[in-house]
Amino acid sequence: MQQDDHGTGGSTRRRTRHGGRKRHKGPGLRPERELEAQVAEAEAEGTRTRPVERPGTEGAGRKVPRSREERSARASTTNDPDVYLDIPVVKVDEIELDVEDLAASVSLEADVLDLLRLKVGVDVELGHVGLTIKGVEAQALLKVQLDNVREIIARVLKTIDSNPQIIEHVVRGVGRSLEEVSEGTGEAVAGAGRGAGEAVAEAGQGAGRALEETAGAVGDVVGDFDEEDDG
Amino acid sequence: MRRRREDDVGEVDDVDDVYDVEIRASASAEELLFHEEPDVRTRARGTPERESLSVRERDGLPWRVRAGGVYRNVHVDYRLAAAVREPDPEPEPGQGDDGRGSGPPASG
Repeated sequence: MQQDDHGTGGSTRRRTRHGGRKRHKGPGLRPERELEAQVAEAEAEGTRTRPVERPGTEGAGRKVPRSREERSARASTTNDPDVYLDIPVVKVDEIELDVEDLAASVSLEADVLDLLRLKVGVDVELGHVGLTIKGVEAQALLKVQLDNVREIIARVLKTIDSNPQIIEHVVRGVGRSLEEVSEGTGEAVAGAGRGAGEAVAEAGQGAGRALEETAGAVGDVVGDFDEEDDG
Repeated sequence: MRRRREDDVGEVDDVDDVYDVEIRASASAEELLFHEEPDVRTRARGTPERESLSVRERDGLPWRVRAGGVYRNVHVDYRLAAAVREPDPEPEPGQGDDGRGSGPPASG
């Protein structure tokens, strides 16, 4: 990995696209084990990191995080996210941190029958961090935007609409499953019906007894009040 | 399709592309003391395909900090984002392909 271990400042940007042209059964359908493979690919991709010195950032000027208002204003001028968790600026004079296995994760999943399975997420994990900070200002932001996923699903649905034969096998599979479920459900409903009947009868008896007891208790209380009033 | 610019460099907020999921964090400190080297892992994931972005800026802090090191006037910005992408359409059989393949697969 090409990294600068001595400089005190700079920036990196890494933009990657993962996933090759592989044959699969339907639009966007891919075995789930691909996920792990892509994660491993992502780790390997770390070699693309390229630190670059930015002029005038040698630690002389100290930045502060943008305020929530600034970030909100920025968000409203671009595409508004569907989920927006803004942890505002936190200011602490001094803090000692000893963190073990802290993770932040944002994930999005969407399925269309068995034809389309979309998953996307980002994770940040701190295995172990021990540090002391003075004069801290920090903030964090989590965002989820559904437009892209919505467009992909819309395209898939449009394709299905134009080519309904695509889901014939899915519907057949669902039909078989429903038959099996309905057979099992019939037995379960019959059993549940018998059980429910017995339960209702018992509940009715119990409720009747409870009402009798309650009425008796109310009568006693009212009787007490009557007696006090009389006194 | 979203353009790929793997080597361009800028500030975290310069990147206006919209991603499906995103984590951003920034922190400033007058003084920072690492008791030990931090163990930090980040990853982006997605299927069927994904495009991801990782941008980090740091002032007053080396790329690899050392245990016991004291750093002053530190500022760090970090952005990690990912978006799901559809696979490139496969060529129809017989269209521009003689069925024997057209070359090695694209490398990641």
